[in-house]
Amino acid sequence: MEIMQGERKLSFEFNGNASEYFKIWIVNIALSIVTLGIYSAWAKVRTKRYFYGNTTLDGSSFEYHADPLSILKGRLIVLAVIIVYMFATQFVPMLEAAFILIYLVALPWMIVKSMQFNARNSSYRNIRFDFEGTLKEAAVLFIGVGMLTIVTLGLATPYFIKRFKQFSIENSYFGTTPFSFSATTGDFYRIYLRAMIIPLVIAVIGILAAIAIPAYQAVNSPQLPTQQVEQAQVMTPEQKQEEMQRQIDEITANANMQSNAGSQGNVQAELEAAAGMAAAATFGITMALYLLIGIYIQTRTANLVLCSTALEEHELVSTLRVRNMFYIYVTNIIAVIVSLGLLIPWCKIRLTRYRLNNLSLVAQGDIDGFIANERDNVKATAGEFADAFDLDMGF
Amino acid sequence: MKKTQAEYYDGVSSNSTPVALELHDDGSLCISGKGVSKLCLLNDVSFSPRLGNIPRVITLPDNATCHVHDNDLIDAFLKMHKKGDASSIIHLLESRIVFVLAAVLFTLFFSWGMFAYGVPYFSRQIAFNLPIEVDRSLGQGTLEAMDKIVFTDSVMAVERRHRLASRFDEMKSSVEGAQDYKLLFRHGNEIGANAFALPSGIIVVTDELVELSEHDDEVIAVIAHEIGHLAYRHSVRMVLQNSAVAVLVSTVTGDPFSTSSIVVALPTLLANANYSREFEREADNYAYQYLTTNEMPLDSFAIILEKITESETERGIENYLSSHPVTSERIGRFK
Repeated sequence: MEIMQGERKLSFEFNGNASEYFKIWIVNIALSIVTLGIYSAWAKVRTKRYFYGNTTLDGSSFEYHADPLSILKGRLIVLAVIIVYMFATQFVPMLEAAFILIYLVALPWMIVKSMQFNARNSSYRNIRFDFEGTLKEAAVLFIGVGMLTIVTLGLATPYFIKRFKQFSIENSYFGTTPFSFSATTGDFYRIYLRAMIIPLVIAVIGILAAIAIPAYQAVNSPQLPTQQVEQAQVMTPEQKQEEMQRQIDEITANANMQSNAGSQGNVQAELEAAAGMAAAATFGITMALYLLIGIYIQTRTANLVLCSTALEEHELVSTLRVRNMFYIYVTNIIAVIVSLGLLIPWCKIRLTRYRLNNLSLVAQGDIDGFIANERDNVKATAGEFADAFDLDMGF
Repeated sequence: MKKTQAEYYDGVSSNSTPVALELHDDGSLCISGKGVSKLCLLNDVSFSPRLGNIPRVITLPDNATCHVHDNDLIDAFLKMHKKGDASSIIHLLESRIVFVLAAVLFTLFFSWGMFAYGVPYFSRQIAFNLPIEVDRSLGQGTLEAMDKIVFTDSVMAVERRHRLASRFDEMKSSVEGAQDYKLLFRHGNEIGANAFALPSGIIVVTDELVELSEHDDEVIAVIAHEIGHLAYRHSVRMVLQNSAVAVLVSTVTGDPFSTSSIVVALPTLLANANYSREFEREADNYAYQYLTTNEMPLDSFAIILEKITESETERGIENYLSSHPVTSERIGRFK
């Protein structure tokens, strides 16, 4: 984008580092254990303060203000509700339905309160954020549109996500200034449609390979296990399922033959070994494919949402790349596994750094003119209750 | 007197004003910059607790704030005026390598202790206090599903079936709480020689397993092992333990409802495999006791285990993440 006159591109910066955060993280855990979980409320606030405080825009850092005591209170209330629920349903099973109903009705309220709690406890340049979404809007969204996605078997999901993001952003304020949101439903559907192309491309390669490999093997000596694994690698999940089903049928047929004739043991063993390997390969590839599709949707949605968000004439720009996100996720997963979880802080830091390094605000002139909300700012009232669910839905 | 740079935010607009902050030895603070000139007393302002190296926020009486980047300077100033509090102790823990190492060791030790002893112990206590109906409800539908997917009707000789069934009735009468247990035979197909107990009290033995055995005692030994699973409430304990591990991991890593669900899934999977091995050992113990009290040949269990292993090897099945303890170890106990 060409920078016009008076336009300034302000980059978000993240200054947190892994070794510093590791120390905070491990002390948080140890103290939470020692205090039987009570410290976890303080741990949460310290963690958020660390990430907010290390995020800067135009030379100023963000702040997180939540009072750990209110979070602790919220968590205790939730714990009490869960205990009551467990005992009540144990003795009066009929109550289960009532609880589910109450939960469904309370869900929009909890989400609104949670978003409000988070927004009002966040500030930049000593100006608090705010969230003013109403319970009615939330109910329409989460119960109405939510039902629609269920009825349409998920076809309305992009629409639901769009409505949800719109709800979150258009009801958010920086001081007295509302955020605006400009993405359309079509933009969201486009992301999901493109995501569906990923397995399609792989299916095309699969079909080509299905033609090419047998042809290749007709020339070379065929090796059963390799063939099956290679075939499995290039199939879509549906194809794989069919293929597995075919193999199972084959094996079953073989098993029956064996019990009748009793001399097919070796062939059967070979087939089952191949099926085992194919199953392992199929599992690995399916997981990688799911991860790729998930990350594609997540990354593109994040870019779309952020790029469609503006504060008056100042616009956010996010430039995340799917391949980088995929690389970070995969290496993060490996790092966490290999380190028995000790590298979790490093993973969180590098993911946050990547996200924020790709976020900027294209400002028209300066960003000094936003006015604080005069209202007594942080009455979080029921917010702590919702916060206990950690329904973290900030930006 | 100490002097440093800071940013001043008036709390009314998003204006950022660079200011000079003077910390006087008498405990007063002087803030001066373009359009700002303030003198405050230490008791009228509040300092945000130290955390890593994020900017220190000084909140002034009129809710204006100052962001200061020189954390050490602020710490020294607060120390001089004895304004340290609990949060400075936490920062001390977070910044000394000794405490951090202690926290690492403590957390690892605690996690291991919980996985290895805590979770199994508590879930046993809870399971044995739950009504048996809980187990029953767990097993609903499992048999129907397996009948659809793998099993076909048993083709075992009728007399053998009757013989085993009457042995099973004998077992039931000698075991407390076993009156509701049912024995079913199925053709195992892909799953081959196998036997398992459903929490609803149904024990399924495949034709293939019965075919492998030479003597009924061998099948009875396997059934005793399966009764062990039921008597020790393994299904409900497994559910309890798995959920406990998931809750534990997410709370310990401080990441409830984590986006990286693999962080929770993997330890759960590993712990799960470990717990199942433990349960197999318990069920083996049960079979061992049953064989001893009923003066049956101990090696009947060893013989059938060996045969099952042999048939699995022939069929090319290898369990990489096996839930059963090493078979040779199990067999050894019964010889």
